[in-house]
Amino acid sequence: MKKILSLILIVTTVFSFVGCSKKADVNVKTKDILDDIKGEIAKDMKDKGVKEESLKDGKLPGFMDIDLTKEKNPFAEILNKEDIKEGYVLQQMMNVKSDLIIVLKAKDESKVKNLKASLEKIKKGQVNTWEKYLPDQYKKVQNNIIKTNGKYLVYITYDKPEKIEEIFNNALK
Amino acid sequence: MEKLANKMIVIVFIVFIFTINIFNILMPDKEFSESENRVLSQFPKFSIEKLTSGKFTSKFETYITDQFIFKDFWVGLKSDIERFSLKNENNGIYFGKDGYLLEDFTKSDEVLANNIKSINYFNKKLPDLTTYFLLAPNSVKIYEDKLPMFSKPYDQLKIIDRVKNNLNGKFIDVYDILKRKKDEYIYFKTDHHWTMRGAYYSYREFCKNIGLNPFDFNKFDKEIVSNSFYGTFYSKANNKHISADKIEIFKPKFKTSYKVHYLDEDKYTNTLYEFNHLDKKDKYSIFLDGNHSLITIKTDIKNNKKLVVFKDSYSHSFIPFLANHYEEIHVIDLRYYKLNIYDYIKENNIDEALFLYNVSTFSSDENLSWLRI
Repeated sequence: MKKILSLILIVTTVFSFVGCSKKADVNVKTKDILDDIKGEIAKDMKDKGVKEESLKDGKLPGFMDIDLTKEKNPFAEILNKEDIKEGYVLQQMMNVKSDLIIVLKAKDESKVKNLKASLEKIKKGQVNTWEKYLPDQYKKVQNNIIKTNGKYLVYITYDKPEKIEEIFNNALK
Repeated sequence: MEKLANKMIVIVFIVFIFTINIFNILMPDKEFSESENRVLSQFPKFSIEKLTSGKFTSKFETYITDQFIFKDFWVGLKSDIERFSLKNENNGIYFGKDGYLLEDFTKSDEVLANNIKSINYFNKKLPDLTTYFLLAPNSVKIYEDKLPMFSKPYDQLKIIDRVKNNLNGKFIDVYDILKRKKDEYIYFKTDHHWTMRGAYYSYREFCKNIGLNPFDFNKFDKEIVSNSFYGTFYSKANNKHISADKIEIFKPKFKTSYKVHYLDEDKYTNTLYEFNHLDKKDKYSIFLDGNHSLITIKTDIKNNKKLVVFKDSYSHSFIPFLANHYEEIHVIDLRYYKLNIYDYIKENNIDEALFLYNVSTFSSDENLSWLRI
């Protein structure tokens, strides 16, 4: 009896250890996640009446993206390049709108905390820019989502942030 | 007798609770609150995932608070009671003497240092360009004598001095002149901007510093275009018993001609004022149509002088004065314009640059980092 009991104990312990161990590291390019997100924004633009030919080949009129690993970028001060393996910013080129999406992959898990703090800082900056001007754009900032998943982080200020968050989650499944 | 009184209390209580709830359910939801100047939360979409993550309930809570019946009345009541109990601040806005609402100011060393660095970088990159920097104090400094007792906002004069001492390029100090003119209507009482009169005195100081001949005070007709401006401080402070501001504009008595182009909306006009904003909440947008990423103003002054202005909204009531001295003015707002400004300056053969910010924006806005590319 005792043997069986101890066997069960051993088996369950082994299983619980297995349960704790991590699944294989996901390895998705942030550029691919960004492209999925851009596809979603393009869809929304089409629904709002933007012509299809101006959305061809992944183009998003009015938006620009910035590679955060590049030497000189305006986010260098706030998002430390040492912490980032890959990263992109998608934002309005010159429209007075608050949309801003950032996808990051940290160099390793220990950097995630730092990067998250930087994203919080960016949000504070957006609040500062918008709280006194254009209530509808400020509402988007208030609904902002910052999310981490393993080494990946996403920052979303957009009309429908949940939709973008879903894309981010699905990409890392 | 006592029993009856108890019954009455119970009945009143139950009726109150039920009618409030019934009203809450029956009254249609509002999209926007005029008095608070913000978009109100709507009924959240339901999904099991949102419910388990707690997002649904927290959104539902903000929905209920935003759409509560007679919200404006309750908020007003709370604010009045607070005022009555001598609370002299709400949402970072002080209730000052003589109807002045004044915004608390706290410094941020890091942002300020970065912004100074950015402008110095710009200066170094374009040594042939003449760069001016005008830093306008906010009403909380100019009217510090009107602050309620025991309020201690950070001293903006220290910020002004620090910027002056660390910045390359010509610094234009307008603090003294504004302090001297403080008995005139140079700042709004309910908004975070200066008035066009405040901008005028700063314009005179600017001209004096850079060798231009400013137009005299009596060269302008002053016209009050609105008596009912309730600005951003009013929305934040949320107290109904504050009187409205007036908006005054300075119209040149001499002949002028402007061609104005708003790039983001691709709109052309021939005026520096957009009067349609006087019917809306944000009436300060009468000046240059509010915030835009890039505005170009071409005038009939053929002196080949071209200026680029990097700015916040304080510049909107200031630029109409400059427009009488330059052939072209390019107004760039770094909060929204994200393209390469160095290419822009080169393409348009611009030879002078003005940075115009108020202390509060300059110590909190991080978008000047777009200069460092």
